[in-house]
Amino acid sequence: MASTDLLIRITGICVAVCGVYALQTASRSRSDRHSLIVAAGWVAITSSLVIWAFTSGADKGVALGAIAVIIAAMGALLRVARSGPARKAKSLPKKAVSAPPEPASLTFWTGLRRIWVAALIGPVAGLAALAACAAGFAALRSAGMEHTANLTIVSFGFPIMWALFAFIAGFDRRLLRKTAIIFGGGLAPLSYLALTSATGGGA
Amino acid sequence: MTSSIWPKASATRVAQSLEAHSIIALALGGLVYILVLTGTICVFNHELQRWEQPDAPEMATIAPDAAARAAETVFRMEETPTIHLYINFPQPDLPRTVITTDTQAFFADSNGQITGPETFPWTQFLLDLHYYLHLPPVLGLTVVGALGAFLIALSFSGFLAHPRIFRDAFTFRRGEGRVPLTDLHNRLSVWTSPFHLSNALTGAILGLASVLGFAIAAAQFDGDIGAVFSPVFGDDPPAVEGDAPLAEIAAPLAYMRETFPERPATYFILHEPGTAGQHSSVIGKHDDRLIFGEYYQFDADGAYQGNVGISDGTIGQQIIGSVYNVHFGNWGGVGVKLAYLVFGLSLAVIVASGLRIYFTRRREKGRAAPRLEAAWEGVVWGTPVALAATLFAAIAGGIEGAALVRMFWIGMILLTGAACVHADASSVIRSLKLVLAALLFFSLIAYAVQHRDLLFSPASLPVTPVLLFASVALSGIRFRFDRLPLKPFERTPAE
Repeated sequence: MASTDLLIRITGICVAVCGVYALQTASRSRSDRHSLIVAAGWVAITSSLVIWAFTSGADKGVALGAIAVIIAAMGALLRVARSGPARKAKSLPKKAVSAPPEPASLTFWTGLRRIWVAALIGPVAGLAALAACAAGFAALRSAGMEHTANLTIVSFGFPIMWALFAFIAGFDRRLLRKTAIIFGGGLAPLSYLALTSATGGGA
Repeated sequence: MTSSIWPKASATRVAQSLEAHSIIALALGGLVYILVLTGTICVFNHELQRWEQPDAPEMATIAPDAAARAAETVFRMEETPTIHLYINFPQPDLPRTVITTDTQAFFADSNGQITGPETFPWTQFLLDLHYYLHLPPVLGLTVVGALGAFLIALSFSGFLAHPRIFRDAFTFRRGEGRVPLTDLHNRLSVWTSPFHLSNALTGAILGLASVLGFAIAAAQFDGDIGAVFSPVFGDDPPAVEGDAPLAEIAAPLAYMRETFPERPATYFILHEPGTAGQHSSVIGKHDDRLIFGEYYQFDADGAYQGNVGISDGTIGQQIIGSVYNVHFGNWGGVGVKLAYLVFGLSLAVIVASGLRIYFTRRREKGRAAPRLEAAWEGVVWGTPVALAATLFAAIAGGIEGAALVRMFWIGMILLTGAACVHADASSVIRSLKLVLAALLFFSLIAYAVQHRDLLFSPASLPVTPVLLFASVALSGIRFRFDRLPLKPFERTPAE
């Protein structure tokens, strides 16, 4: 049993290394078979995860396989780094070259804008994500979803939504638009919760 | 030559994604870095606990009767009745039996005799830093969970800001300057993304669970937070007033050994001991799964009541039951822990290099910020220096608790401030590396003085040689084997 397990693991490692090697080969060349090699690489990597699933429980086996793929990729990177020449840095001034000072009034509004963007990224995005997930839980519960599945979805959804709102707050250059998106993202679900609570639904 | 199969990235999208990436990194990079570094070290918290108290009795297993005897002894020692009584069973990376109540913890030997209190002040300081940033628990967990969410945002924005992500997948130019630094940052970010995304997500889930639970309870269950989590982790039986003799402890443990021999017990939990409503759970380990274990429930007489379902219940229970182990890397033995060490240090390099790229770009554009750049290096190298300083204080000076916390945060402020004033990033790095090497070395000296008889015991290894190696490597001492004297029979060309 132990030797079979070891054989499966070695096979999984070899297939992962082959997959990473195929992707590395594809990244170096742009031949007619480029797409085929990329596809073969990803098929090999996926196959290695499937092989690893047989070494333990499916969840733990796949996780071990993912670690093997990452280590194979890091090994490939190390090989690439060692094979190339070391570059020298450009010599740059360490002190700031004098730049024109910003007008005082622009600095004040810029500062205020930055504080507002920080608030949007942090607590505002967090509260909006929390409201969205609480409302999402209520909606899925009303639709009859099983409790633990529902809780799992919103547990994963909360940090992902917060990340998404934080990204929007930094990505969008229009202050009003991103404020509206994030506030709307929080107020709409709060309204839903208030409405369902008032009508006695969702309990 | 064929064209790429991937759609061209919009320049506007790339620029705005990079802006979002920079904003979040500049605002929160320091705290994220502290979390990443402490988390990486925390993977080995069991090894560090053993190292801090190398004289505790160790064993591979403990008999049910002996464990019960130890638990009963500690229960009788309690002045104020405890609500929970725990037995922490020996595990491969922490082969010790510890009896814990709400306020105390004691080691037990293999005969069930209590040998002394369990105390690991520096490791506890490190765990509290990673879990709560030393803030009050619920606030700290929420802040740390939020940082996990921001790390997800950094990953997301980083991917979108990377227009040649597939073409450059294996481009890695080493050396000095912005290009090699960018290659290091981008390549490590992409290829270790399964790790840092899963760790950021699971860390955020764990940290934000309280806040989410409160919100759902308020919205759907009239504020009853138990109703939110009990379908996952099991219900408590209805409360019953009155005293009772202590519940059976040996019987459930013996039952587990006979009925589930492939599920070794990691914890025994006795709820409300000595009361009419007492009941117990045994957490059995499932070695072939990512879950932390399964709760096997017993009544006060030791009769088996069934399991909660973390291992074989709903998909939701099994997924939520896996979050803890996936985050802390304690699901696959030493091999997985070492992988987490490599990936965790890679993430620390990603965070550190990210801001270095920002400062290098500023210099290239003629907007150098030497004080901020030096301050960032003060954070990058100051964090391990502050950790090493607290380690030395704990070992040599017996300092613990709030004093270690103050020492760390005041140290961080002073180191970052001093670096900012000095304004030379290269010399800040050199100086802090030497200070770190010295602190690790003197910590080892202090440890060797205190535990000279146990310096080479299984509890002291492997932490001692790792710290010694780190100290030598950081000091910059190079061993020149080519300058060793010639062997007697070798002749020089002149002979």
